[in-house]
Amino acid sequence: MFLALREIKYSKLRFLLISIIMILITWLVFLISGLANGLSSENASSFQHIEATHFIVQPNADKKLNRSRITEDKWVEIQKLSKPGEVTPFGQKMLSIVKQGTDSKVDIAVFATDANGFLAPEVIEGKKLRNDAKNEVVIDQSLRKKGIQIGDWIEDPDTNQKWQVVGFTTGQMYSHSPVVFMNLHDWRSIAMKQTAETTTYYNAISVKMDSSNMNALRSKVKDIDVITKEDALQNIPGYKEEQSTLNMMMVFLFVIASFVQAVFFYVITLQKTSMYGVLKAIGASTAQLTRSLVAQMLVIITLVILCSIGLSYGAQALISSSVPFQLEVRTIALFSGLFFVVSIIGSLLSLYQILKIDAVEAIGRVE
Amino acid sequence: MSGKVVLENISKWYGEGTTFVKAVDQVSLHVQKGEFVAIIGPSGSGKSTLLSIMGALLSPSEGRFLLDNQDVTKLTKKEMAQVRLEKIGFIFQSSNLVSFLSVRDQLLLVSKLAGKKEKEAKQKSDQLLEQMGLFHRRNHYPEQLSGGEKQRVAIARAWMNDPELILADEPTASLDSKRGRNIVEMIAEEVKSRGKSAIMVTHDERVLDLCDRVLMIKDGQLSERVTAHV
Repeated sequence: MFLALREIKYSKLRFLLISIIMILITWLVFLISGLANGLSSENASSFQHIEATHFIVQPNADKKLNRSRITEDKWVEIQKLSKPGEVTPFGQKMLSIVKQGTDSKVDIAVFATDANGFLAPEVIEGKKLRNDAKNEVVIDQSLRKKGIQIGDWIEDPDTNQKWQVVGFTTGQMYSHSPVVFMNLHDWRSIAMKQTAETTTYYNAISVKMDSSNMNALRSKVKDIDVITKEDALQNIPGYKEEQSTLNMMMVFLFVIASFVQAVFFYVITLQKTSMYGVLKAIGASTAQLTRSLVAQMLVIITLVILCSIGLSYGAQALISSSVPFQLEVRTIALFSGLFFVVSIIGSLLSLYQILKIDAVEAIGRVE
Repeated sequence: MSGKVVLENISKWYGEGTTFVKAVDQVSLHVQKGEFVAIIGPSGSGKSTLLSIMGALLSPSEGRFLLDNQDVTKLTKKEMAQVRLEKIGFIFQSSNLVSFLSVRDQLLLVSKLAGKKEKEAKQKSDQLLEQMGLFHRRNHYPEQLSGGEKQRVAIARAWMNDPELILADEPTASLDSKRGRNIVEMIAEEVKSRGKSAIMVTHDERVLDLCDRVLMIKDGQLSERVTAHV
């Protein structure tokens, strides 16, 4: 620490410049991770907190819920083979609706489920979803921004179907659209009207059971495919693509940051070769010099990370609420840890230089 | 066998077959307490190799080197570093100070490396800087010092851990004759007053009269020079 801190103090400008570069890069990593989190929750918060463990879908549906069709007969068959509370049907459809009396359309995602089943939404305001009510929906509170309140009617202008908003729920977004929950009775009227089918269908059967029970059930029912909750999440349209693009950016930034830092310390270590030779000659051990270098790196990286976290939270406060941006303590902790690990690995390059220096070189040399 | 520094039949060779070079050949040397010895010789004569061996930087191929009754030739690299830290003070050709440490920190670093107490180290460094006439410069950095001042800091640094042996590698090389002489006088004075040993490798004939003994090294062999004292 003695050498480490004094060198930073003496070469302020040099360390300031590298710190600024590092802060900008780490800040960018945190911002992108905030954006990735924000987008992910805007895209799929309804699925991130869903209580289901698996979904039974149609084979050949490519694991996509929106392509899958499970018939009423299949549902009855599955229901017979499982305990109550373990399975519940799930219908999903993207619609454009208007608030009655206005004509600006809003995209929503219809989720249809048993109002007493485990997919039923928790209501934060208004009434719960009921199975015996007609044309009642519980909607995500983000629709408030579109001027929709409890008691309002919403309408599908294509089919002229109408529903009354009875309650608000929160954190229910699907494919960047707020979710509108309805009971299975109302679902039937949507499903049959739009497909001209005579029997109803569901997109999937959601399941809450452990893997062994799931496998047992699967082997008993023909013509079904089982996907996990994670599969379903990844296959929400656009979800995987969005997240993998942002993740790739972050991976690249990590690589860039680690190289920038490693090269900086490598170069200043090379510059100090003769100094290290002299220090070794007067009796400094390699361990002492190594500790000094690592301490210096840790001091810099700690300051850099603290500054970037501060800047990221500052940015979050300034960014308007319409931008999906959400910093998670867990992600920030993970990336900070990664930056520490990466900088330690980067320091190995410089440590090797220190190891190589022979104290004998200090003798008989003119600078 | 007596004396602080004892070299017995020290040899050092490099390479094999056609590349075989004997840099130091059967050198024996005794240096007493309070004795200041100069070694002169042309370049390539083995001066630096001999100095490296005496500085516990290099192990000889053959022979024994005793420093303060301890056989240094049998030590591991790590133990040699410890010996350098505690028993040997180096003064290099160009002062070789650490560029980002203030004059006072240059001295404190040495005691820090040896794990000594900070309070005592501060007293000791202040006292040494006072002696070297550098106390008013204690918060300056090497780039702000003149060549002579830098070399004085290097001397103070060499004394910091109270070593048994001072090794000076052409300490006057980067100085003019007046300053060079001044520096060697300082080394000589300290050696006498502290009762330690010092060995200086030099080209500079003008300072040899300040040394107790002058030895000549040629082709790796050491011989007593018939001094022409004025």
